[in-house]
Amino acid sequence: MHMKKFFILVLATGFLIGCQPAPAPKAMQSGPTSLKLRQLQSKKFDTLDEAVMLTASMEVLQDMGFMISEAESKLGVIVATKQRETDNRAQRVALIALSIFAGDGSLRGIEQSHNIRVSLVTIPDKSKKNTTVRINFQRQVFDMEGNMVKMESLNEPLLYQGFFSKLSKSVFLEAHEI
Amino acid sequence: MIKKYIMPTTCVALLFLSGCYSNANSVLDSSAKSQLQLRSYQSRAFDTTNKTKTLRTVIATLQDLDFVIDKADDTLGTISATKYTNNRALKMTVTVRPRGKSQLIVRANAQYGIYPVEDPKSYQDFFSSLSKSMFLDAQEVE
Repeated sequence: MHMKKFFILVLATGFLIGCQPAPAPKAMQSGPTSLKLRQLQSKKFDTLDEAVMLTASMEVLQDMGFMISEAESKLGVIVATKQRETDNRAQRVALIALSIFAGDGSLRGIEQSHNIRVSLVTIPDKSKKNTTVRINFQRQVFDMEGNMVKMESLNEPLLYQGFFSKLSKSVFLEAHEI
Repeated sequence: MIKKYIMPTTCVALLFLSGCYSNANSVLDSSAKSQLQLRSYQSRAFDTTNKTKTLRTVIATLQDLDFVIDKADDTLGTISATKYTNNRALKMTVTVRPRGKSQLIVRANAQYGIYPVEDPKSYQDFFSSLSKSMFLDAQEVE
């Protein structure tokens, strides 16, 4: 009996020591999705003035309530973050009620807030006399007890269309100094 | 007779094991692979001297691979980025520095969740994507 327990113990310890996860085999490979992502996340503007594009982009990020956490104009990079309530208020109320009436009243796993991160890059093309702006978003989601429940990149087309429509307006404003 | 002592002995041994450890291992990460090995699969040389352009290409490649940039510094030649995959963070730092008069060395290191990425294939994939975007060969560094 004791021997059996001993072996189980050794086996369990072995498992604990042995499990070091490797990144998904294709995590560093570019594929067809890379091209689709690039198209979704990029927009060309008819100017070679990178500084103007960076300033306009920064303004839009501020319009959206982002805090700039890093900027390197020589490489055309802006990084920004913000914390917000998640857009699932109705669902959250339903889940809380369900947990109270039918569960143990735990608020674990009910999404409440997220940290959103964005990196924005300007890419001037001297031969074609335009500047591409590329942006990508990701987020960490927290539940009502403050545990992180999800980490993901945000690739909804609506998000990017919305951003670029704001940026186009901002560029117009910048260009004409209204 | 011996069986009687197995459990208590194991428990005492486990207690000792759980009590004594040093943080040197996880801080220095010096156990798994030699520094030379590590540098050889984390580095590639490119036949160009344009550091800024190379850094910009690194940024573009990282965004293609679904990374969001964390930090970028042209002077030091360093880019850090994070990709969320399978609810874990894949973090990567890429540095660019001159080698001799005609080459640049690009070096990358990565961590996945709380573990270092020690699988040469991942770095190979990264450098192969980078070399396509650079229109230059990624040469192994001795």
